Amino acid sequence: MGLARSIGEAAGEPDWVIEIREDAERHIDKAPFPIELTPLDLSKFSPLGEGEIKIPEIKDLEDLPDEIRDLLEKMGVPKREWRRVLGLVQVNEQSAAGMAALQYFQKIGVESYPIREALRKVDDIREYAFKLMPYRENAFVAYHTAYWQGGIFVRVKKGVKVQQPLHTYFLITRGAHAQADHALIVLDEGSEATLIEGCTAPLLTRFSLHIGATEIFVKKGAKARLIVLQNWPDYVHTRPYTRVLVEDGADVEVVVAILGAGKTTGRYEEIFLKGRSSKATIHSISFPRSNSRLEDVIKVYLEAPDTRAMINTRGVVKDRADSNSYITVESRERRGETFAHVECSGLILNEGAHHATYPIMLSSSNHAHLEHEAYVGRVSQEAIEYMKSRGFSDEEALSLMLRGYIEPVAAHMPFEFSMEIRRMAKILAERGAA
Amino acid sequence: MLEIKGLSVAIDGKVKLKDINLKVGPGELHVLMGPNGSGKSTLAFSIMGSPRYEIIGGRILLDGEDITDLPMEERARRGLFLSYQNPPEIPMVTYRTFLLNALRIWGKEPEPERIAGIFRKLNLGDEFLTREVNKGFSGGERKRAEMAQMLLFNPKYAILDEPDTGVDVDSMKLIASTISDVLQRDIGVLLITHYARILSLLPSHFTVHVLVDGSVRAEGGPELAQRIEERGFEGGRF
Ligand SMILES: Nc1ncnc2c1ncn2[C@@H]1O[C@H](COP(=O)(O)OP(=O)(O)OP(=O)(O)O)[C@@H](O)[C@H]1O
Ligand SMILES: [Mg+2]
Repeated sequence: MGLARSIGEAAGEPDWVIEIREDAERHIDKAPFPIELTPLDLSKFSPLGEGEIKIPEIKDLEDLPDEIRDLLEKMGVPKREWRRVLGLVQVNEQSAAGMAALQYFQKIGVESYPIREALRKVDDIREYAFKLMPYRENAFVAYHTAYWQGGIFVRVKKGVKVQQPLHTYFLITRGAHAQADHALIVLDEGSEATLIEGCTAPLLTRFSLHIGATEIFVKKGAKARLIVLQNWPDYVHTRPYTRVLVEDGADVEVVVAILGAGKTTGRYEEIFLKGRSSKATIHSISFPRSNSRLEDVIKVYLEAPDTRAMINTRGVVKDRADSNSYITVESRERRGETFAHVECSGLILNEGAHHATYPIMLSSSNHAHLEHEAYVGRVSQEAIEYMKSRGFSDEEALSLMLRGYIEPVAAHMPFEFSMEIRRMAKILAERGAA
Repeated sequence: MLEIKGLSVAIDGKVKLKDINLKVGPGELHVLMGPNGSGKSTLAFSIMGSPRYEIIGGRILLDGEDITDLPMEERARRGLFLSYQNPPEIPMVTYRTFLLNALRIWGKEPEPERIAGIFRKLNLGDEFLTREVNKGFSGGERKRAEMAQMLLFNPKYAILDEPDTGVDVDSMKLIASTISDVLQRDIGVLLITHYARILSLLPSHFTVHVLVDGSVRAEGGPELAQRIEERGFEGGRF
């Protein structure tokens, strides 16, 4: 029996799910790695985490490494949250806050279960689950689909408009710290919700490979806002995959903040604007530093008349980090008009850091209005000096410039995160100016 | 008193200023003139403490305190101000954010109303405060914004590097009256200029220092400025 089947059977998953796992498993070696991403020898990693990183057992918060303590304090994460944000909460231990949140959301029309439970009890789940996982085309997706464990299902019912952001973080039972967690999100017609994935604090994980995936269905006239926060420690490779399907008049906004890029991060995000007048907006900010390698791949397909994409990515690159953004917008609509505006830029804080942007605009009709701006630059020393002549220290000057630089993205974050992201910029400035 | 004592400065190992001596008292107006490339801006930046300029001799004293080895920001905090000949852009930072943060750093109250008032005084509408610092500002607008900063920071001594270059007649008057204002407030001013014109709009008692090739070659009253206006630097015979 293959590993995929044994994982599925051990969890009592329905046959059809196990069959998908097995098919995906057969494609791990056959499917290619996306050309933009750094390949990995997947056979070197254990999906169950055996022989993986031993993180020092932390019984007491006093045992935390100074650097992490320092960062958490600077970021203003309340002490009572530390265990949770660091991933130290026991597997399967669902926080009381999480339970309360679930009950509340249930009441207002949000259906949410651990993904495995949903696979057993949600009637129409087969219409959605793994439909947006192209495991034949992408070896990382194949690995994920074969070996995923844990994760969450969220459905916002027709017409329900959820005011508070849904922290999927609180809701996940097995923890965001499984090696491959799977999120399935459905926004029914006319519904609206903000979902928050991850958190800004650094994660202590025992896995050195993370391949999470998220599938999102945004039905007619619905509005989805997805906030993705990532802060990986420097021994982690991550290849998160997201695919979004957007129907008529629906809207998806994705705001991504990568505060720590681990050893290598390869984010791969594909948005299909299938419905007429559907829209995608993406804001992303990343802070790769030390020896990180970051690949950020965003692909938006304009497949119907009057579809629109707006993409703005910014990277602040430091130390010897190597950062690459690949932004593709492809208009596949032949008759109706389509629109896209892409801005990608990188700010390099020191010699030795690297940033490249690769915007690609494809269209097969003259009704496509696709434009892009790209910019990669260094922090202007002249501007820093000018600010110093007005009384700013080096750190204060750099910090203000960084804040200005990230503001257009930070402004799209919920308040508490934008504060943390601004603080992150400040921390970087303090270390950068030294 | 801002005192420059025997100051010599090099850039990339090349001597650009030789043995400069200059004293600017509170409320005094000193005018520094000299051909292009003679080292005027070099002197301004050296006094302000730009690390690009290497002090190879001499001292700079501010009200008796030796500031020669202080970083720029410390000099600014002690009351030194430099109005740039070419004010740079600060990408992604709006003028308002820039000034409010500067005030915060100075430990002063953030006073958006006062900032807006000063900007208006220099004929800069509120929209300039919402724009990125100097980005897309015309030459004259940049110079007026520098003057606005001088009013806002209210230094003890201000070095003004060609605030009158490239500005229209009305701006020139506005800039001159701002300088007159700060002189009245007992701020000492070292004004770098190429033209007697702005001087005709300023209080008539001032000292002119003529810098040629990195050395002060002549000093005198307003008549010296007039002579330069009429005859130039006479082929460097100063
Ligand atoms: N950062 C620098 N690197 C190299 N050379 C410099 C630098 N700054 C100034 N110089 C040189 O030093 C000399 C003096 O320059 P400075 O800018 O002080 O002249 P100035 O008197 O202000 O001229 P202007 O009237 O044109 O403004 C010039 O020859 C200039 O090219
Ligand atoms: Mg000059």
